[in-house]
Formats: sequence, C-alpha cells, structure tokens
Amino acid sequence: MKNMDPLNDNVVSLLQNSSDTFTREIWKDGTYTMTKRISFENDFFFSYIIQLLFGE
Amino acid sequence: MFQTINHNKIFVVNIQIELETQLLQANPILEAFGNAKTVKNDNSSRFGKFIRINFDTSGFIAGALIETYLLEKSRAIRQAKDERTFHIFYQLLHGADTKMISDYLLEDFRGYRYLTNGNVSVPNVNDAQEFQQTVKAMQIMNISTDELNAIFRTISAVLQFGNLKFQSERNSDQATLIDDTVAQKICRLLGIPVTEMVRSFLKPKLKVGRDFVTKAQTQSQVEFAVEAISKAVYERMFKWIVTRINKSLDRSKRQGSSFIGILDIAGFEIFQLNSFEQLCINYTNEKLQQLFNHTMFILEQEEYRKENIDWEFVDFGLDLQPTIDLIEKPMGILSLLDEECWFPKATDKSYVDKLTVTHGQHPKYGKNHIDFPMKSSISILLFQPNQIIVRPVISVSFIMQVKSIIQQING
Repeated sequence: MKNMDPLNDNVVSLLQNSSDTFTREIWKDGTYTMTKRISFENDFFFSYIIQLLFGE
Repeated sequence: MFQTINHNKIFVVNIQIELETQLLQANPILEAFGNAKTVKNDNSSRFGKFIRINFDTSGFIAGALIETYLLEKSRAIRQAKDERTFHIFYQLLHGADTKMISDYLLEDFRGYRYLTNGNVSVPNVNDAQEFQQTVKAMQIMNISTDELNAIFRTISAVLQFGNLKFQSERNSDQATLIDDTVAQKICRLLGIPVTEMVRSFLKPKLKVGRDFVTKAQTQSQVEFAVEAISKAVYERMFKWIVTRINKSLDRSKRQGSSFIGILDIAGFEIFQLNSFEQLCINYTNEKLQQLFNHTMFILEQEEYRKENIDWEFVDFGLDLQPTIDLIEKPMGILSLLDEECWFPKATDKSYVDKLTVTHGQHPKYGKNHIDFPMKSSISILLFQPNQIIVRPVISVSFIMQVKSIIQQING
C-alpha cells in the first residue's frame, strides 16, 4: 500500500498502447514522471544544492 | 567595412541568433502551460524552474537546460473562486478556429466541469491573441504541426474527463457510467478503445497469483481515479513540452565553459484554502531561502573571519529553520502524513489530530496553521481541520493523492 501509485493501471496500460503516437510517447514508462536528476550527477554545484536541500 | 566574408563566422552567428531566439521563446511556452491567474497574481508560476545557460570560452551562449519541479497539477481539474486554470486552456478555447473546434472536439466554457469558474478573463490579456503567440513560439521551438495537434487534442481530452458522469447501481455500490457520449470523445482524442476504457475505470482487473480478478469500484472511487488520470495526462504533457524545449536548446556539441543559473520558484501563496501542493511549494521556497541565507551570509562571514577582517558576526534570518524542521524532520508534518497513508481508515481529521498531539507545543505550529517566517507578518492558514482537503474529494483519497507528491519530494 505504501507509496502505491494511485493511478488506475488498467487505464494506464490502454494509454501506453494508444493508436496516437503522442499519447503513447508521454505514457512511456518513467520518461515523463519524476524530475530527472541524472543530468546533474557529475556536477558539483548541483549535487551540493541537492544535498543541502534534501540531504541526499 | 566587411571586405572579406568569413563564412565560418557567419555560420556561428546564425546558430547564435537561432539559439537566442529559441531561448527567448521558451518562457512564453512554459508560462502558457504552467502559469495561471490566482487571487494574488494574474500570472502566477504554478511550477518551479531552474534554467541553466551555458557559455563557451568566448562568452557566447552555448546551450541551455531547463529543469521543472512541483507543477500544481490539481489546478487542471478545479480552481478556487476567482482563479483560473493554466492559461493555455483559455487560449485554446478562445483562439481555436472552426476547424480546430471540430478536430479537437472543443466545447463552450460552460460545458466543462473542470473549469470551475467558467470563462474568467484577465485584465489587459487577449487570450485569442496569446494563443497565436504560444503557437508561434512552439513552432520556433521546432514543435511540428502534428505534435501541436496532439497537444491540443490532449488538452481537450483532459477537459472531457471532467464531464464523465457516474452513478451507483441500485442494488450495490458498484459505479456505472450514465451514458458514453463523453467517453467516446475522450477515446477518439486519445486513441484508445471506449469499451475497454470504461471497463477499466468501472471494474479494473487485478492480477492475483496467476489469475485475473475484477474489482468492484464505488462511484467515488471511480471519480477519484478519473481525476488522477486527468492530472497525470496534463503533467506528462507538460513534461514532454519541457523535454522538447531542452532538446531544442541543447548544444552539447559546443562545450560550455561557464554557466549562469536562474532559479524561478513557484509562487509563494497563502490561499483561503491551501492544497497539499501549495504546502510543498511553500516548504521548498523556505528551504531555498534558508540555503540562500546560509550561503550568502554565514559562509561569507566565515570568509571574513578567515581573512582576519575585523567583523562583528551578524545573525541573518536563521529563524526559518524551526519551520523547516517542523515539516521535514522525523515525526514532522510530512513523515506523519506518509505514515498516515499506511492506514486504510485514515482521514484528514485523524491526521490533524496526530499533528496536534505531536506538535501542539511547537512554536511554529498553530492550532490551524503553520507559521512561515518568509511571510513573517502573516500567520499562514494552512491546516484548517476538515478543510485541508480540496473541496469534494473524500478524505482517504486526499491522502492517496499526497503519496505521489511525497515520492517526488523524497526522490
């Protein structure tokens, strides 16, 4: 139950298999959900800010 | 004056002009899709963004990267009194020509339940004209006509989701769809089969071991699921646009040697009724302000001390910390909310009661509010027991909604 994604996964799977290219694209797994931090990985300044902000 | 033409240089200058033009167009696009009129501000950013502009060794702009966070997606499905949803909705409905109206299946403002206040205009803003400018900016950003059509179809579908009407079966709590006209429109816009979509909302299949079982859904469960999907569709479309802008602005082939970072925080607002998303925005802003104070004042003074400059240490605004601690420490507001989400029978009231028991004595915790020092003159009405939920959403589903946002914050 904890941190369960509240989205109806039956509907999500329909959207992932849509006949519309754009709809399929935005529902691709993981691409347009969380903020990506990967781009900052090698960046001292950003990792410093993120560390100070969220203590990671 | 220019007797010899250096073709190479002209090429570089052209790229430069193109990049700068695109960079300038990024803002109107992001504002159309992520800004809205609130009671305080006609053009309030409903998301936070960080823009990083890279410069090459000769000082030319070498590329840019935009990161966004905390889009207030609940605005897409309901708005407080006198407020608007994101500008693009009004731009599209005012600016669409006859062909677009029939292609995107658009309706009149009064026909949409997700536009709580119908057509609200902003002084000195012509939404139809703004629409033309948004489209032009998106074209400069190399967004194709097909993609533009898909984006506007998606916005229309988000609006249509709000018009799905459900009721309870007479002999059980099972929800049913009253008629499928709206569902037909949604499915045409999004390219998915109608029967399957309706069945997925009303009786979703669950995998149990090797078998599938169908799960009965009450009217309020289905309504909540529809709202969650609507918000997710809008948010994913927004992120797609940001990703697309970044693709256009990325000039990684030319190595940047330095950069300027611009942090544009989401609007710090104190509404009559504040959503969980607003709490996250205010919390993030407090944290950024604290970071700024720390970096600018404390570290700077440390530097003075190291250099033996005669300086009397001044304490600047460390009073933000207690509020931040109250929100983020173990047993704080966020972790208690996270914990409350474990309990199936949790309600807003049980949550607020827990908060009061745990933090009743905390100087920054009022009976009905949290004190945000950033706006120190006002005590912020944040938690109004019974009203922490945004209007008619039932309590448990509010807590469910909160989960995905907490995940975003915790990374």
